[in-house]
Amino acid sequence: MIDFVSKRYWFFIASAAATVVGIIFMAVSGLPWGIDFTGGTNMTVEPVHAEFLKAKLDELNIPEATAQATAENTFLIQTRALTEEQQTVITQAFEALGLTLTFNNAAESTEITARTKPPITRSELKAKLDELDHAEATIQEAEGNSFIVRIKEIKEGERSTIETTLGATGTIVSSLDSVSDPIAKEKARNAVIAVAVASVGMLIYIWWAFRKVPKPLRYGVCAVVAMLHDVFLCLAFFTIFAGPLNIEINLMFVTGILTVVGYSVNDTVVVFDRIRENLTKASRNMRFEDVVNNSLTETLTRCIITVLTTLIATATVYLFVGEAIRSFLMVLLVGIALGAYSSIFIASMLLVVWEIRGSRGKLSKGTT
Amino acid sequence: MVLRDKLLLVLIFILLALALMTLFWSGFNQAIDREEIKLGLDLKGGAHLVYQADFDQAQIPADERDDALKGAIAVIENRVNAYGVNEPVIQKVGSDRILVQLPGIENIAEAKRLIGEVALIKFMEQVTDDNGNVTWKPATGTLTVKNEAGQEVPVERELTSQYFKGKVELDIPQGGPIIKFQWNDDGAKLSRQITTRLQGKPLGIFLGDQYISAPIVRSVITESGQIEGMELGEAKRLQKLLNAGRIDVPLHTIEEHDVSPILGSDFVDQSKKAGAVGLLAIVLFMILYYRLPGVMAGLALLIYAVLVLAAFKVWPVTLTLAGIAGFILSIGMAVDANVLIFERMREEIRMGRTIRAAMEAGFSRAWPAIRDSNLTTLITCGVLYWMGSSLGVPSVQGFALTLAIGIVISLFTAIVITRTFLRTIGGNPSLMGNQTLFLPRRKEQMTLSRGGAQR
Repeated sequence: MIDFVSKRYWFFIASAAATVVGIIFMAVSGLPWGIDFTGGTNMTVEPVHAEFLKAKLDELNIPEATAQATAENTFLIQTRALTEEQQTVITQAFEALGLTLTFNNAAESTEITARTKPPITRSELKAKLDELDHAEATIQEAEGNSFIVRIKEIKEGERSTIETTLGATGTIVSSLDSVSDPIAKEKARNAVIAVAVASVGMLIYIWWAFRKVPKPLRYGVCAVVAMLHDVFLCLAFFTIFAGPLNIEINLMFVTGILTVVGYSVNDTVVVFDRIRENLTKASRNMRFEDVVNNSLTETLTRCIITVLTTLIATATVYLFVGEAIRSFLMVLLVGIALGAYSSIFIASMLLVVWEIRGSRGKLSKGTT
Repeated sequence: MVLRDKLLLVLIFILLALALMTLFWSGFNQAIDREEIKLGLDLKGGAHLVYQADFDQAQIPADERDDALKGAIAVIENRVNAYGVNEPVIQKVGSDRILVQLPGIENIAEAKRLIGEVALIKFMEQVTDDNGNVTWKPATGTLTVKNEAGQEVPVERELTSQYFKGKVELDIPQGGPIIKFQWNDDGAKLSRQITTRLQGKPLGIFLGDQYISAPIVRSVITESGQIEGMELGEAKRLQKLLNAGRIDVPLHTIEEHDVSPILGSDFVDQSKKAGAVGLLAIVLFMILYYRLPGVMAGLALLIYAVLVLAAFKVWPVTLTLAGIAGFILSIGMAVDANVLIFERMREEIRMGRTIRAAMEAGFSRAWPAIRDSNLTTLITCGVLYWMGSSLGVPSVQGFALTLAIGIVISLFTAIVITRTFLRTIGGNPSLMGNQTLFLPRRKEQMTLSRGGAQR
């Protein structure tokens, strides 16, 4: 049997230290809130690209158009032969996007060479945003010459103004996420409520499931404490590494946290279940600590394997799917590891400490 | 093999067959009316908008707000359908919000304008052209209006619900439901002209460009009028629409998200690969580590994946990215159930039980842990689902749903399928006698006393 229990204070110290570091970081740099919780608008802006031109041509009802990038800042567009009128329409639309066009008309088809302006630089973008009265916007560089712009508030109808202004520099707004202030506050409140309700629900269930064991409430409480420990350290981890990992706390992140909540308690329950079983079989003179140690040793293999398989599953999704649910998956990876750690090294240890304080280390069955 | 096990095997086989048919055989799909797995917005790409209804500005009293909101939703639905959006999502969120998801709409500005408008009710009359074709054209009359010079000139105006006064009411007497409305002065004038002209002929009622009904004009309608000849359900709907078509509930955009369709389709392909690879990696691991039971579990897991995907199709679940993640996570948890059982089995074998007895003991001992841990996760799913629906975030709902379905089916798979497979081989003495099929040989033989293990 591996003696976990005697080292319990080391585990408490480790978690306490991590918690303190976490608190310091959170106080200093603040949590990396996304717009889901702070309100505001995220825009992804990028230089004009071929698919966009194609979509534009479709919009203008130009039949059988194709567009492809041929050289830096140059596109080749091919369509069926165009009328004067169509040419004017295209010229107008494309010049608004900062493109210069050269038409090459043949009998059956037309080729258009379109030259764009060079991709916008960060400082140019900043200048444009200042012009648009959004000096407070933050700009973050993303892949492929694109930027993620975060603005506090966009009024209804302002989007087209922004698009036109940026369009003239050859930059398009490829996606826009906007959350208004009141709904953001509501989401924040609901997320907290969700964690609270989940915690209470689980506490009650565990209390009921362990009703035949002495002092069943403790199991529920220790499980929930371990779970909150995991949630907090998850938040702390991502506050510290928010920058390099490019993570922000949005709804995906919170979904991840809630999954970690379920997972952590799931793990703890399995360990507690083993403790319960060993308790009912234990002889009167066994110390609580020994029962716990046995149970932990017995369940150790299973804990490791389960964490491994779930990590394999999560890692595979991360490798293949990537971007959009990245924050969710990263939370899972960190949270699952924490969940396993806390079930063994925190939740069970808390049980022991509680028991020792309560009945001085001897098993008391049935009373109190 | 006991009869019970044989029956269970048959059951498993039938379920598997049904699931495979659901997934791969389009004929079957047409019969049960489930063509493809529904994809959520983040997979198909499109627009996600949340509107806040401004009841105060429209001065709508509290008891009429729900109807007003439902009416607005009905109008939006009609509009969106007319625009030809495939599988839009339009739902009420909370008491004063509307969630609109338009898959495949790239021009969000256009979509917003469309939704923001509240359609008018138009009245139309039938005309027969020279070829004998009958079409609808807006019913018009003449009003006298002051022009810029201050003179009164006649102008032609279409009769629409903009001339309604007050609210439209619904009466349900013996003879059938009657919708009652009132015209304002201009409306009264137009109405008199038009209904005089159309006595005995149909007066078409259109919501925007969409036909609603065309009751026959029975009498000249001046100040107020009524529409009869409809059945109750239709009349109620029309009342809602008329009131909805008229009530100007300003809708403010409080949330909008653009999801690019181009990226969306990549993710689906990659998720499929991820799922397949992940599943195979886990199955491989199970076989390597748990040997013969691992093979059984691996098979059970593959069946599990098929069952769950079929369940998604049949439910139907709207699959989002988060939903896929939920599914893959539930595979991890399905494995967990198996791991608990097999670890237990190994312990029992090491304690000296026969393999067959160890199998049974493994299941019964592991069950409480499996049940409790999965139920606590289900609680989290419930909370997540609630959070997703109250906030109007379909992805979170999708995740909760897929995870919940996955857990329920995994309970079934572990307890019924794995167990039945093991029992099936349990009758085979040559397999049962061979311990190395179940666990690696240990150098020392351990004696364990109840309640503690000495290693």
